[in-house]
This record gives sequence, structure tokens and C-alpha cells, in this order.
Amino acid sequence: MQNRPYDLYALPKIGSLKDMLIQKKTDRPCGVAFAFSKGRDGIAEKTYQDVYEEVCALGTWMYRQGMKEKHIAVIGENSYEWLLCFFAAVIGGNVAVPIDKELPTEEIAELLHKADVQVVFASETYGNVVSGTDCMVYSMGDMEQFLAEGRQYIEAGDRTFLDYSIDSRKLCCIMFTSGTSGKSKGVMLSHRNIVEDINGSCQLVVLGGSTVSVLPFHHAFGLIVGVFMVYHYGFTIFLNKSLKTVQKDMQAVSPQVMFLVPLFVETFHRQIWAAAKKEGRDRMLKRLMKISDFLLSFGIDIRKKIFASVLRAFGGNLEYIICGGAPLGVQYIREFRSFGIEILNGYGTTECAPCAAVNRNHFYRDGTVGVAVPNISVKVSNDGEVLVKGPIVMQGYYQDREATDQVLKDGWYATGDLGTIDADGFITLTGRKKNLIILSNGENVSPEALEADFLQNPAVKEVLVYEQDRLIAAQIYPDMEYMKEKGLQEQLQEYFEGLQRKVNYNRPIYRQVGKIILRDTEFPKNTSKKILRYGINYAEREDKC
Amino acid sequence: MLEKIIEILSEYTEADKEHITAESSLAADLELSSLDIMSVVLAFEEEFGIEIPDQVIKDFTTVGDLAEYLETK
Repeated sequence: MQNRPYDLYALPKIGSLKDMLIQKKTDRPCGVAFAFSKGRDGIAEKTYQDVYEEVCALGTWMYRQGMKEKHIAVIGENSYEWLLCFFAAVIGGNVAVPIDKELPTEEIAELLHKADVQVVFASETYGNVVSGTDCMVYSMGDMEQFLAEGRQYIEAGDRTFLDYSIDSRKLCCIMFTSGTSGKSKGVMLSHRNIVEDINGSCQLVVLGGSTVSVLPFHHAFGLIVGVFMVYHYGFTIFLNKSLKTVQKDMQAVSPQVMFLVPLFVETFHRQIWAAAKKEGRDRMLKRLMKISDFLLSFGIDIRKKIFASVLRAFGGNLEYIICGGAPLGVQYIREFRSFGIEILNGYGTTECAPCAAVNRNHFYRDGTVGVAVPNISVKVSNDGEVLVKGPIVMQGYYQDREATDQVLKDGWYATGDLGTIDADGFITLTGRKKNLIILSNGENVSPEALEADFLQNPAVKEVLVYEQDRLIAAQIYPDMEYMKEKGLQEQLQEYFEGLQRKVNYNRPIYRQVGKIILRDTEFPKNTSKKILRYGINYAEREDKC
Repeated sequence: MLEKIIEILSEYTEADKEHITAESSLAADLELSSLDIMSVVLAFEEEFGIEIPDQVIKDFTTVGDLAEYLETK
């Protein structure tokens, strides 16, 4: 099929997540919805019938425990139990609050408080991180018991959960995203936001087989696109439990599609070439790519045959990578296309539930983030900012009117991204309006939060945190008076390396500062004496510590 | 232990063994992404026949941190 506009895919639309579960258990009751490793006990499978039945059992049990109209946090590794908790909570009218398990304990407690969480479902591994809070904590390890009790209630005639009808305007979940002020903001997504995003994304992109789910469920992309969209299409989702086993899982499952952030693509690229170099076939691989690209321009596709060894590393059946969360270099898209894997770059934010645009299977443009999902409007403001309006746009930030008013005006969500839209509707992003550092793994890192930690040390007079060469760099203007007073003026390097370790302590790897740069002059400032974040001449940086 | 760790890291990163020390930062000096670190940890698990929980891995900043953890196992 040629690369040109074509009709939208016509998958039946859903009205709610409950609707999605019912549709699937009606159409394909014995189809495998989820599969996951049970360690030495092999692979467990859950059919669409199982999922619906177990969500109802857990939801009924939750009702009996008084969980109605509650805010229920879910924290833990990606797992089937995690998904059951989410589904049962929101389908019963509760509000789910997915939490990043890698955050420091104090920050988790802060988020639970901020989102007014009353109940927490934690995996066995992460139960301890919420044990000190005021919330009622349940362990996902006791899931079998919850389900057994729920089934008994249903058998005894309890239909309150089964008969509960959801108002699609109701708040479904609060998902946290890093804010420019350094404080996380709770994005309020309604049931309608989520289902409209699933419906819209499914109209643009068609899936043809199973996936291995690797992105964390507390991210909207990992959950709503990476799981719900595949579920709606009716293909099996293999739940990866640890990033250590991503490639092993892909080789075992042979997925047709993967939902990834650029970090994965970049790492796969490095691993492909490292392996080729080690085996002395890197030059041959480059030659084959040229030959294959040439033949492909005449419609002759021999990629599956000549790149079989490369494709085997991904299970041998991978056709598409849906990539989002951060910008991805065009060179990766072209390289993977040469191998026979099409990367469909997309765009979204948690505030857009999350997918606002994506390249289509047979209508794509390299260097763009694709075309807008069909049920929304996208435009570029006079100052170049991308604005989004439509049913996928969030209700607002939880209990933060000021932050909400800053980004939502007359129904238009100001994304903070600068971009352009071409005549065919393809959106190209040109930069960030916000200060947030967007790392290649899709994680947002607030420079202000790191700067605040550095500034707690009296030896730091000024500091600026930014991204440099895929690392988080901190440029510091030391307080030399303090250093002299302490007799440390000859040990600047060691001192600030120690401070770097201290700031990094207990932070997830992606939030750690990888480079310290010392400067001997003050930062340039504006008239309000604020450091000019974008006025720094990065070429004049001092030596790396 | 440290020698074996350096050998595995050198093979993965193609950095000279002589340039990897206990003080080398996994992110800054060896330029490993969080996903790379997971892959390397898998190699250690296979080499030493142990399992390293994911929640422990996030605390590894330097090669020495890794060695220290593995020595306790």
C-alpha cells in the first residue's frame, strides 16, 4: 500500500471501559487477553471472559469493603493484578490514582495526600513504601482471596457492582505529571477522555497481532495506548515484569507491535550494531541495507529474508513500533524501516489522555509526529504553540485551579510544545515552551526540583540544570568564600562530586545528574535577577568535573 | 568480583578495561541508559547465578555500588 491518505479504520466504538470489557468477552470469550510469566510455573493466560469475571468479582469485593466514590491508588510492578485493581476501581465509580513505584517514599506519601487517596493497592514488593501513610493498604498478593470472596457475594445475588452504570463525564483517574514548578500535578482524566482516545487512536492505527507491554502503567501512554488500545483490538498483551527480560520476552512471544519510548529504540539500535560489530558483519549489514532500500524503491521487499538475524532479536514477527513520549531521531525510523520494522511516531501528553497524533500504518511522514486523532481539533497559536481541543482533553489539574487556568482556555489545551502543521495535517514539533527536560525514555524531569536540592548546600551559589548529550547536567557557580572558609578551595572537584552523589541518592536513575560543570562567573540574568535559562552559552561551559 | 564486573561492562560498552574503575559512574562515564543497566544486570545475574531485584538496581550509581552489592550476595 502506498504512502498516501486513506480511510479511517472502522473498529466498533466503545462508550466506556466497562463497555470494552463486555464487548470483548461477548465477541471473543476464549481469546487470550493477557499472558504473563509465573516464574518456574510457566506462563499464565487470562481470557477476555476471565478478565471480565475477575474485574466483577474484585469490584464487588471492593464495594463490600466500602470502596465507593473513593480515591484508590495502585502502586507496583506492571502486572495482571495491577490492571484488575485499576479496572475494578474505575468501573465501580471510584477514582484510580496510579503511582510511580520508583519515587522516593516521601514523594509517594505526598502524592497520596495530594490526590486525597483513601485506599492503596500495593504489590507485595512495594507494600512497605506506603505502610506509613494514613491510607487503608491492601496487598495485591492477596488477590485470590479478594476474588474468591467477591465471587461468593455475586453468587449470593449481589449485583450492585454489576449493575453500576458509569456517567462518562465522571472522573476516572488522576495521573501525575511533573510540573514546571518542580511539583507534580494530578491530571484529571474522565471516562470519556480515555475512551475517546482509545476510539480515536484505533481509527488511525490498525494492529495485527500481539504485543509485549513494557512501559509502566502509571504512564498514560503505557496504560491507555499500550494496553487498552490493544485490548480493544482483541490481541494478546504479554505483561513484561522486568526490563531485564524485555528481549527474552519478545523472543518468546514474537510480538507484531510494540509500544515504546525512544530510549528503547535507541538502545535496540546500539545493541544491533554492537552485535554486528562483534561478529564482524557490521559492514556487510550496512551494504545489505543499501541494497534492500534500493530494491524496495522498486517494490521488491526482501527484508524479512536478509535481515532475519536482526529481526529474530525482536521475536521475528515485529512489524510496528508505536513510539511516543519524547522526540525520536529520524535516523532510527529510517534504519528500522530498512530492517523491515515501521516506527510510527506519535505525540501526546497525559493531559490529552494521552495520544493527540500519530503516523498511520500506510500514511506517514518522517520527522513528524503524525496526524491528529480524528475526534479532536489541533491548531498552532500565534506564538507557535500547539493547542488541542476535544473530548480527549483533561478536566484539569486536581485541586490546582491556577495551573489549570494557565493551560486550559476556552477548551483549548496549551501543550507547551512549539510546532507546525502542514497541508496534509502532519504535525512537526520544533521545541519545548516549558522548561521541563524530556529525556529520551519519555520521562519528564523538572530541573527546578534538582536545582532546589543543590541549592540547599551552602557551597552552591547558583545552579542551572539542563539536558546535555542525553545526560542531566548541573552547571554550578560555587560560593568560593564558603569554600575558602572551609579550606576546600583546592578540592572543588571532589567536593562537588560528593554533592552530586548526595543529590542523586534515592532518585531513579533517569532523574540522576550525570555531569557536574563548574563555572567561575555568575550566570547571566534578566532584570528581575532571574537566571536566563535559555540565555546560557553552553559552548562556553567549564571543564567537566 | 570487581574484575569480573569490569570485564562484563567492558564487553557491553566496548570501553577499555583500564578505563573502568570502581568509581566509574554507570551513567556519566560509561554512558549507560537505565535500559542498558538492566541488560548489564541480567548478564551479572546469569554470570553469578543470582537474582537482583529491580528496586535495588535504581540505587546503583557507580561500578563500585554494583560490586559492593554483589559481594554481599
